[in-house]
Parts: sequence; structure tokens; C-alpha cells
Amino acid sequence: MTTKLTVRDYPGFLLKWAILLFFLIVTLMPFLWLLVSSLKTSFEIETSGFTLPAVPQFVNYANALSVANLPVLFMNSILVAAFTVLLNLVVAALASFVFAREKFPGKDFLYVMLTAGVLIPIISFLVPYFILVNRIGLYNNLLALILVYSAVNIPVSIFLLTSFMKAIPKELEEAATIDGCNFIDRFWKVILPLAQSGLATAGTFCFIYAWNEFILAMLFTSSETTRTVQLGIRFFQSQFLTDYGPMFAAIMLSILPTVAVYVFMHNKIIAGLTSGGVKG
Amino acid sequence: MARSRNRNGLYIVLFLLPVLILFVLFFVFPLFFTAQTSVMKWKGIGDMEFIGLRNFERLFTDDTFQMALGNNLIWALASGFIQVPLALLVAILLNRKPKGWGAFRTIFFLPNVISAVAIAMMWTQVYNPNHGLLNALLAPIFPDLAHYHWLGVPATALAAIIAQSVLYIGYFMIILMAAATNIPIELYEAAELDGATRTQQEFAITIPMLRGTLVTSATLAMAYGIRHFEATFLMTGGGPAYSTTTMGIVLFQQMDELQYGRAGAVALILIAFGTGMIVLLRAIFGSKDPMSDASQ
Amino acid sequence: MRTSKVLKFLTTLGVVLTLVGAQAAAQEIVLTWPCIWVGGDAKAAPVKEIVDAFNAANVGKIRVDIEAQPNYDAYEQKIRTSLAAGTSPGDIFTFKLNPATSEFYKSPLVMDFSKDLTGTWAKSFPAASIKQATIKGQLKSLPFEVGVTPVWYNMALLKKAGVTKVPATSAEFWAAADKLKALGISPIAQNTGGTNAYITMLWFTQIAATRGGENVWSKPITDPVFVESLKDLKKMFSYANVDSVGAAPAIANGHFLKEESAIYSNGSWRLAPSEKDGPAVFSNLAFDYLPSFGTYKNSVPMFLQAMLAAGETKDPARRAAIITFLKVLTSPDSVKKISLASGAMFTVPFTFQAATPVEKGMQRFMDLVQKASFTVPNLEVALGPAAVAEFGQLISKYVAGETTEADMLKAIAKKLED
Repeated sequence: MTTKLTVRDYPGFLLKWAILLFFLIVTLMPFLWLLVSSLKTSFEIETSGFTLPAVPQFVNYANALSVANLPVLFMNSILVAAFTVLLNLVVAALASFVFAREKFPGKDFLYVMLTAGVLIPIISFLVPYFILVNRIGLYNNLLALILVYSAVNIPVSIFLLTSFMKAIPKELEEAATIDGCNFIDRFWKVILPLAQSGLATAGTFCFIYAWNEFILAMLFTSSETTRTVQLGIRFFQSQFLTDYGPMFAAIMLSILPTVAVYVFMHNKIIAGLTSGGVKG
Repeated sequence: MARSRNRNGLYIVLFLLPVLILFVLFFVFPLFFTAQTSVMKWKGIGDMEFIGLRNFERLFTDDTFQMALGNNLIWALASGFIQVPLALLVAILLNRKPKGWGAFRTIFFLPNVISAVAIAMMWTQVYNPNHGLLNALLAPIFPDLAHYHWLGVPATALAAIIAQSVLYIGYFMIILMAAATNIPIELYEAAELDGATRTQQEFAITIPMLRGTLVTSATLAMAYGIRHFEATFLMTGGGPAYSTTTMGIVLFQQMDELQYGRAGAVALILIAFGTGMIVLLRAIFGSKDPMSDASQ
Repeated sequence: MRTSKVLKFLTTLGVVLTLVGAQAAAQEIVLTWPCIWVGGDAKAAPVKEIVDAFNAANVGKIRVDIEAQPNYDAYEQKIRTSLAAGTSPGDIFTFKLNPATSEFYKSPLVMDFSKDLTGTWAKSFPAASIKQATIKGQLKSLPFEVGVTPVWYNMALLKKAGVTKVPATSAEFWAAADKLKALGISPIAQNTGGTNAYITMLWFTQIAATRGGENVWSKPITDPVFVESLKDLKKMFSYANVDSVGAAPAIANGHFLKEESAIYSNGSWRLAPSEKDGPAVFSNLAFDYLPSFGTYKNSVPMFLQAMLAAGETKDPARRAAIITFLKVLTSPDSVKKISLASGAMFTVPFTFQAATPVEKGMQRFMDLVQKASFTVPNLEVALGPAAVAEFGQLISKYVAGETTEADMLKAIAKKLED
């Protein structure tokens, strides 16, 4: 596996970097645009999208930090997102293992039913969700968000985890069964460690959902002690005017933890994998 | 096999129980509630009035809703057959771990963590007819397009929104990259010894080994296409003249008008349409994962 | 023996009940107010001040808790979801009254003020606005904030184009537009995007008012008045920027403040932001009625923007607390405070000496209302969200010449059927 650049590879090499560069520009653009915009006045943002600020408005960040009690909102978001990921992954991993490995009557039907949940436009469920949350007595309680977010993400997580677990060679379990591993051991000692990359992927999506969700959070909570960071961002959207400068500053601040979680989860888990990986 | 099923029956039930509880509470109950309202005239307040299938009838004969259905189909196809293949292309390139691949992987995923409000606003300005970036780039070659209003003309509005959306491949890229880490490295080593080029290796090993994950990704992407709402809502609100409207936007509009009955009908049609698509995809591509088959 | 036991029991019961009652009366009543006027909203500071002062004055008795609900779409979603789920959204809340939300009047969760609004409190509201807020004898929301949207002219640009005074007739209006266009700008600001095509919808309202009079919205939408009004609107679009189609109101605001257009329409809440973002434009503004395109003169759109509502309660003490607070909130003093801080206008009149340029602008808006021969609600308030959404979608098709007036109005009429 040498990586010598031969003449034959040259057009391929150029093409490869052209593609990567293109996507680099497309994906970096919103981030840079947001960064620059967070230092502009709202009027500048609205009327000239791609200019630099006349005077950098660092005050936007001060406004973003002062208008809502951001530390409390951050703490709540972290709690909600962390427990959502935990609950969702536990529940989805158990079910996915069964879907990937076992045969039982009605399995296909159940699997399609569960995964079809991806299609649900959540706003059509606002009324029943609100009734449910009030009935269980969890209105204005972070637990309501954790429960609903975990549930809403079950279809995607099962979809992904089942697909990942199916891809794990069965020989490993067969060998383990011969060694005396029971059902739970097969799940806990064989499949789960090998499904780490799948867990990281599903967990990342779940975390981002919980971090960015807004409508349900507004619906189920009312006091500052139960509000998430998304409220801090929306603080600058009033009925007639959106103050984009500080709003974008708040968005910048709010995405830092998500980026950190993403980088951490992926580097940790992909680095920890011993089996996979093609070397270039 | 039969013996092991009997022995594991209890475990299967136990492992599925938590999912079933959450699913019944947060999917089945609301779905029944929605199904019930879909055959009612209900403005959210007071008694529901049973009107049979009138809400559905009205939707299916409505030009706007037909347009929305068509647009969702286009969204689904573009997501499944453009966005996912692009994601695959990038995943394959990064899977070879070129210089800086870790940074690429992080950056390509970035748009997924940035608020949709900001991304939509940026793209609205990219497409702006007066000071937009796209026209500035195109004007030297196509002077006629100097003030072209991409989002204001029905002929290009839908394409313009979809184009920016399918370029964000990060979501599916990380699914595919994660799956690619499970491909046994020996397969590539063997191919290398046989003198296969990189490109040949990708077609002979990577893509077939990722087939299951690809089907999963495409299905997910298409499902997201069916329930698409946010970017369009933020960029055009479904206009001009409903040319970019989707079922999600119709649903939002019905709720805005307190037409909860009809909103329920929209939701059911959307779910039925999408479920049909998932079943169809499973029928075409199969539910079995080739990788597990290969390893048996 | 037996009677004394019963007596004893009843006495004890009486004592206990009195104690419990006294305890309850002594307890502070907490009123929740899911409120949109928070965060960056211009009304946030004065509203908070009023609530804080109220809480301080009623310490131990009544406390009003503001629940921050920024983002208007989400706020509306929460109000209607709560009501639909059979839960009160809060003790105090607000909503926009239109044919769709008038449905809220049917909810037993919403308090009827018709018996509470008496005496001086009743007199502080204009009778017309109370009439507008009364549906089938019920007054389930109090008319609070109003929107007034005259025409805004950039007089500096008009002068530059050779127009020295505000157009008084439609002929002068078009002539001014032509001269402005010759300056190389797109004179009339429009926007058809968002959920209600706001500024374009306001133009349509004003044109229709001058053609159809005070009760224009009680005519069927397919009436010739609206056909002709659409034709005028289409002509206006030939003076609008190419990006007006699908634009958010912010785009139109931007053109006006960057002198890329010179004729605009919006409410008084835009005064302060305009002063901040376009000081040069702001110092040369004139506000007036749209010249008549038909037979009616001197009319201005005025509509109820925010209604105050309350959660129904069986507890008389709680009900009294809610009314007490609403009386404070709607008092001329409170209204003046909120109005001057935010540029918003209210049903409840108050007197003030205009000092700042923004306040002088507000004074002019109020004068226009007072001197108007009549006011009309805008299309959205009069016909509801379904009609205005259809209007916003089809107007782009219509101005592009892809549909006729008759077809467009027929489509809106169909939306109005249910």
C-alpha cells in the first residue's frame, strides 16, 4: 500500500482535490458567512449579504450574552441533549440488535412501522404531544423534552443501528456462542463494542436534534429554569423585527458545543476502532 | 434455528419493550389522534364534526396540494439520487484518508449544526437578483442573468432551493464513512496484490460492501425529502405562486388557519405516501444487507 | 347528645373551612403571562417595568409572572396548541384577531370580559374597537395594540425628481412615480414574501379602501372594486424592484432606507428602526393618505394588532386579580409608556407632547387617524390567514401576467369558503 503518485494517477489526483475543494467552499461558506454576519449590524446583514462590516459589531456578542440568562440555558441544553442521547441509544440499540439478529413473527411489519416514524412531520403531533405531556404531569419539566426527543429520534437511530449491526460479521457471535456467551453477552460483549461507529453516528444526530430543537421546547416549558439555548437565539426575533446581528452571535456561541461534541465523538471512536480503516 | 428462537423469545420481548413503550406513547397515540381529526371538521376548539373523507377529497382535488405532492416527490428523488451519491463520492475519497481528511470530515459536517435560519438567509442572499453572489459570478459569462431572480421565478425557484440542499452531504457522508470503517482491510490488500487500481477497488469492494448502508441512507434521504419543510419555508414560504410548496408547508398553513382536521389529513397522506415509498424501496433493493450475506 | 355532636362537628368544620379560606385569601395569586414582548422586542422594557411596578404594589397579593415566548410563529403555535389540547395557555395572553382566531371565542378556556368592562375602564377604549372585538355578545379579548399604515414618502428624493409636494391625486401619484423612476430607482417598495406579503398587502388594502370605501371588505372578493384595485397594484409593480417578488418585508425596508425606493407603507413601529438604519431618509419623511384611486378620499388602514385575553377561572379572587392587572396594563399611563418606548400604537388614547423626531412621526400617524374620513382593517385582519396566504402566492403570478384578476380573486374566494 504505497502512496506514490504515479503519472497514471495524476488526473485522478486533481479531480479528487477539485471535488474536495468544491465541497470545502460550499460547506465552509455558511460558517464564514455566519461569523462575518455576527459582527455586522442587522441592517447590513439584510441589505448587503456579502460585504464586511463597516465597523465590527462586537457588541452583538455582548448583547447575545446579556439578553438571556445564557449559562442556565446552556446547562439545560447540555442536560437535555446528553440524557436524550443516552436514553435514545440504549432503547434503540436494544431493539436494533433484535432486528439485526433475531427472527420473530411480525418482525418486518414492526421494523417498517418503526422506521416509517422518520416521516412524521412533528408539527402535526403538537396537540397530542401537548395533551400527553400534561397528562404525565411533565409540563415545564426538562424530562418532557428528554422523553419526547428520545422518542422522536428512535426511527432514525433504529434505522442506522440496525444497518450497522447487520454489517457486523456473524462469525464473531457464533464463536462467542460456542464459548458459552448467552443472548445478553452477545449483545453486550460482541455487538455493542463493534457497533461503536454506528452508535457515534446515531448519537451525533440525536445530540444535534436535541440541541437545535425549538418548537417543542417552547411548547413544553415556560420558565427560565427549563428553557434551552434555542430560546436565547430566538430572543432577538420579535413580532416585527429580527435583530440578526446579536441573533447570529448567539447562534455562533450555541454551535460551539455541538462542534466540540461532534469532533470528540468521532475522533475518539474512530481512533478507538481497531478493525476498520483503509490506509491511504 | 427454531430452538434458538424459543430460547430467545423472552429476551426479544424484553429488548423490544422500551422501544415499544415510547413508540406507542409518542407515535401510535398521536397517529390515532391525527387519524381521528383527519375525518373531522375541527378548528381546534369545541366539538369535532364528522365529515368522512371530505378533507382528503378536498386536498386531492386542490391544485396547490397536487403541486406540493409533486414537489415532495422531486425533493425525495433529488435527495436520494443526487445528495446520497454525492455523499458517497466524498465518503470514498475521505475513506482513503488523504491529507487533512479529519478536518474535511469535520468541516463537511458543519452545516448540520448551524441553525437553518442562518443557512436559509445566506442562500437567499446568494440568489438575490441585485447583490447576489450567484449573479455576480455568472454575469461575466451570461450578462442576461445579471439581475435574474432565481427564487422569484417559478421556473427556477424549486431547483434553486434543492440545489443548495443537496450540496450539504455531511449527514450522509458520516453515515457512509462510519460504515466504511467496518470493511475488512484484507479485501483491499488482496485487490492491491491483484493489481486493481484505486477506482477499481472502490467499485469492486467499497460500493458493494456499503450497499446496505447506501440503501439505508437513500431511504432516509427520501423520507426527509417527503417531509421537507424548513429551508423552503424560510427561503420562499412555498412561493412564488406555490411553485416551491411542499406538504409540510401546506400542513403548517392549515394549522395557521386553525384547520386542524385538514392538517391531520395532510399529515396522514404524507405518512402514507412516504411509507409506500419505503416499502417500495425495500422491495426493489431488498431488506437484506449484502455484507451480512457475504459473510455467512 | 346527638344534636350537640352534630353541632360540634359543624362548628369545627366551619372553623376549619374559615381557616382554610383565610389561608387561601392570604396566599399570593400568581398570574402567568406567556408573553411575546420580551428579549429584543421594543416593548420588552416598558412592559417589564409596568409588571415590576404592579408586583411591587401588590406584594403578597398578586404577582404577574412573564413567561418569555419570543418568535411570533412559535408563540401563536403555543397559544393555539394549548387551546386545542384543552389547556389554558396562561392567565394573560395576546393574539391577533382575524376570522381564523375568532374561533378562540368559542373556547370555554378564554375569559369573557363583557361584564367586567364597565364604567371608566370601558370609557377608556374607543367604542368602535370594542365593537370590533365583540363577537355574538362576547368580549373574549380586549382591543389593545393597533397598526396604522399610511404612505411614507422620501421627500428628499421626490424633490430631486422635481416633485415638491406629496401627491394629492392618483394622477399626481403616477406622475411622481414616473419622475422617480427616471432617477434610476424603483420608486415603490413592495414585498410579496413571508406568510402575508405584508407591504404589498397593505398597498392593496389602501387602494381597495379608496375604491370601495369604509365597508369594502364586506363586498364579495370578486367584486369589480377588487378587480380594479388589482389592476392598480399591478401598475405599482411596474415601479417596484425586481426582487419584490418573494421578498421578506426587510428587503422592502432596506430599499426604502437605502434610497433605492421612495414610496413605502408600514406602521409606526418602523419609525425608530428607520431612524436608526437610515437617518438621512428619516429626516425627510412625509406621511399621508394614499391619493384616491376611486371615489373615497382620506382613508388609512387601521387594524387591531394585539388583543389581550385571559384564561377563564372559577375562582372569583383570581378573576379579580386578572382584571386588576389588565386595568393597570391598559391604563393611559401604561399605554403611553409602552407606546413611546416602542413606537407602537394602541386603542386607548393618551396625551403627550411630541419631543423627539420619532414621537413627532407618531403624532402625525395619530393625526392622520383622527382626521381620516374613515379607517379600514387590512386584508389579513379582515379576511384571515387563508385569504392573505393565497393573495401572497398568486400576486407574483398575476403581476407576471400569468393569471387574470378574475381567476386570482376566484381562487381567494374559494379559500374564504371555509
